[in-house]
Amino acid sequence: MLVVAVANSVHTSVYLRLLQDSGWQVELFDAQHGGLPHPNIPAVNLHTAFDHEQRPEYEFTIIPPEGGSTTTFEERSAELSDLIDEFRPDVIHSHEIQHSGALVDITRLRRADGLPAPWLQTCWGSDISGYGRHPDYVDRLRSVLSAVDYFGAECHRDIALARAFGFRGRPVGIWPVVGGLDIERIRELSRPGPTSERRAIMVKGVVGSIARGDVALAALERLGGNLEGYEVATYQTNEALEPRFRAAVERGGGTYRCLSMAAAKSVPHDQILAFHGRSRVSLALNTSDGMSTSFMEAMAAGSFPVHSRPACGGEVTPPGRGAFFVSPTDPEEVAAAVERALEDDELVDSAQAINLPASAEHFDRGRIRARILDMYDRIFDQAAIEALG
Amino acid sequence: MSAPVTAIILPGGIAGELAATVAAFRAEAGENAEILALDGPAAAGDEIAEAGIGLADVAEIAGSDRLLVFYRAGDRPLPGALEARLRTFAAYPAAGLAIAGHVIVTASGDEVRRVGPPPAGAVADEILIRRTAEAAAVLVRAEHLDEGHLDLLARPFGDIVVWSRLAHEAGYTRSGELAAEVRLDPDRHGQASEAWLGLLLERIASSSGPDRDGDSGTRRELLRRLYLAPEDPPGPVDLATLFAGKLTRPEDAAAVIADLQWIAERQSEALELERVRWADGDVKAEDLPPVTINEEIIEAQAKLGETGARMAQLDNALRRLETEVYRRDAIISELQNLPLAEAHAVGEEPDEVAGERGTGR
Repeated sequence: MLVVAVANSVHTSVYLRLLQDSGWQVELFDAQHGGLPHPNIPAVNLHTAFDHEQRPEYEFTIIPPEGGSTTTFEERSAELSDLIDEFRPDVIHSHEIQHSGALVDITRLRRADGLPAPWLQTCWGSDISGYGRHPDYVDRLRSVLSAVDYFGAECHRDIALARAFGFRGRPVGIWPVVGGLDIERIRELSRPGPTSERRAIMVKGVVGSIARGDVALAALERLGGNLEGYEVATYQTNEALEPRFRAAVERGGGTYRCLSMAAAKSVPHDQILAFHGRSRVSLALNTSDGMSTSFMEAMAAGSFPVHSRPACGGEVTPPGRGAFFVSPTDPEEVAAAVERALEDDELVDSAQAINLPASAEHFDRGRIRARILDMYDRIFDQAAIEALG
Repeated sequence: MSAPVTAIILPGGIAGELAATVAAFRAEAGENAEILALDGPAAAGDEIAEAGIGLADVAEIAGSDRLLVFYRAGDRPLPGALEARLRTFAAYPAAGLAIAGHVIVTASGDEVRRVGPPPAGAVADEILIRRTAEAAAVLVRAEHLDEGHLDLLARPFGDIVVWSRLAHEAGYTRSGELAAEVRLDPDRHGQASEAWLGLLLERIASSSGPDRDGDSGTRRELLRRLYLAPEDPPGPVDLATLFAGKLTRPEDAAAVIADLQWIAERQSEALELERVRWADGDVKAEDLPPVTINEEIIEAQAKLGETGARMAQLDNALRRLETEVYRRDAIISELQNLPLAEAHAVGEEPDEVAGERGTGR
C-alpha cells in the first residue's frame, strides 16, 4: 500500500501504527515539501523531499529523492509517479486533502494512464468544512473529490460535504483520523465514580487561526466565584495567555496548573488523559473541526465536554445531554455552558452514563483497526473482481 | 483422520462446483465421512441431490457431540490442512470454534490473496467487523450450536454472525493453517452493497432483547448506508420486520428509536450541507476563514523544522572542518617542531609558500 501523507504529523504516525503486523507492506510518501518526519512513525520506507538525517532512534528508513531536493508540487508529483511505477501499489491512500490529496491528484493528471490502483482519500477535520468555505481551495477540493474511488471521513457531515463537492465514489467508513483511542488506558487513568464528584476543569489553551483558547480564557474570567474549590488545568497553553489563565482562576478562588505549553515539542499525554479523567468539565474551542481529539478524550474519560459547535461531536453524543456545543467566538455562551455543567450534577452524571459506552463504540482503537483492515481487504478484492471483469 | 468430522454444506457458493468440493473433502476426511447440506434460500437442490448428499436435520445437529466443518460450493480444502486443524482444535476442548486462514482464488485457480486467522487477542466483535472468517476455515463443536445458529448459517450472510456469537459465548481458538481455497465471489467479497448490507441485515435481524455491545453501532452503520450514503440495497428494507426483535419491550425499542432519530438528524444536516453554495463563492463574510489557516501554519512549522535541520547540518560540517584544521596544525607542529599557534599560521599560508618552506628553499 502506498500512503501519501504529511510525515511530520502525529496523526500520520498514530495511524500508521495501526497498520503494523497487518500483513500490508506500507511505503510512505511525504506530501509536504519539507519538515522533519515525526519521530514516532513506525518501520516503513519514508520517501522524503529532502535528505534528512537518519537518526538511530527512527524505526523508519528515510529514502531521499534521487535527484536532490524536490520542493515543488510538480517535482514531488514526478517523484511520486516514479514511486508508483516502481512499487506498484495495490491501494493508494492519501490522508488529508490539501497536501496529500492534491499531490496524488496532480500525479494522476500528469500520468497518461491515470493511477494504476484504487485511490482512497480520507479527510481531516477542517479539510472540507474549513477549506471548502475559501474560494482559493474550492477547485482543489473539487478536483480531488471528483476523482477519488473511495472516501472516508471523521464524521457523516464530511461524507455529505464530499458529495456536495463532487464525490461519486464509495464511502468506506467513519472513524477518527487519529485511529481512535486506547479506551482501556483512559479508563485506567480516570477517577472512578460519578462525574459530579469531580472538582477539576480541563481547558485547551492554545490560540491560533482555528484554536480559540483566548475565548476559553474570557469565559473563565466571566465565571468568577464559580471556580471556588476547583482545580483548573490548561494544556497546549499559549505562552502569553498562561499568566492570564492563572490570574483568572485564582481570582475565582480556584487553583491553576499549566500541563503543557503550545510550543512544547512533546506533550505529556498520559498526564493530559489523567486530568480529563478527574475533570468534571473539559472545554475546547476551535472555529473549524471534525471529531476533535480533545472532545473524544473528554468523553472517554467521563468529563463533560463543552466543545465548539462546528465539530462533529453531536454525531456520537446527544447535544444538550451528552455535551454542550457552543459558539467558539462567544465567551458569554461558553461561560453559561460551563456554569451549567458545574452546577448540574444530574446533567454531568447522566452524560457520563451516555458517553462512556458511546466512546467505546465509536473511538476504540481495536475496533477501528478491524474496520480499517477490512476496508483495505475489500478495496483489494474489489480491484481483483473488476480486473477479472 | 484423528476424529470423525461432519461437513455441513452451506447454501450459496459457486454454481456447478458442489461435486468438486465434496470430492476434495472426501479426499481429506475419508470416503465415509458424513456430509449434510443445510437447506436455505440459496441452496442448490439439484446439485445436492446429484452429489448424493442428505439434508441436515437441524434439531439433530444442534447440541450434538459432532465436530463440524463448513463449505460452500466452490471451496477446496487444502491437502493435509484438515488433519492439522483438528489436532489444534483437540488441544482446546473448551473452545466453541477454531478459525484458520484461507486463500482467495480466481475461477482459474490464481491466488488473489492469503487471509490469516484472526490476529492474536482479537475479540469476538472484531471477527464480525473484519469479516475475514470464511466458513471453509472454521471448525465448530456442535454442542455449542442451537437451532437458531443453524438457521442463521443457512442464510447468505449469517455465518460470520454465528462465528462472532460463538466466539463471544464459548470462546475460540486460532489455527495457523491455511484451511482451504475459497473462490473470489463478487456477492460476498469486495465492495458490493450486498456484501456489506447482507451482513448488517443478518446481524440486526437476529438480535433481540436488550442491546448488547455493538448493537447500536451496527444499526447506525446500516442506517447510514441505507439513508445517508446510499448503497443501492438489493431490495427494499422493511425496518419494522428488521427491528422486530427489539420492539417487544419499550426499553429495548427506545434504543432503536434513538438510532432512528440519530439518522434523521444526520439526514437533516446532510440536506442542509448539500445546499451550501460555498463553491460558488456564496459565503457569508463572517464564515470565511482567515488567510492564515492550518496549511500555512503547517508549512511554516515545516520550514522552521527544515531550517533547523539545515543549521544543524551546517554546524556539524563546521565542526568537522575545525577538527580537520586542528589535525593539520598538529601534524605541521610535529613535522616542523613548531608551537601549535605557529603551526596554525603556517597552515594558513598559501600552498606555494608552504610548499617552498616544506622543501627548504
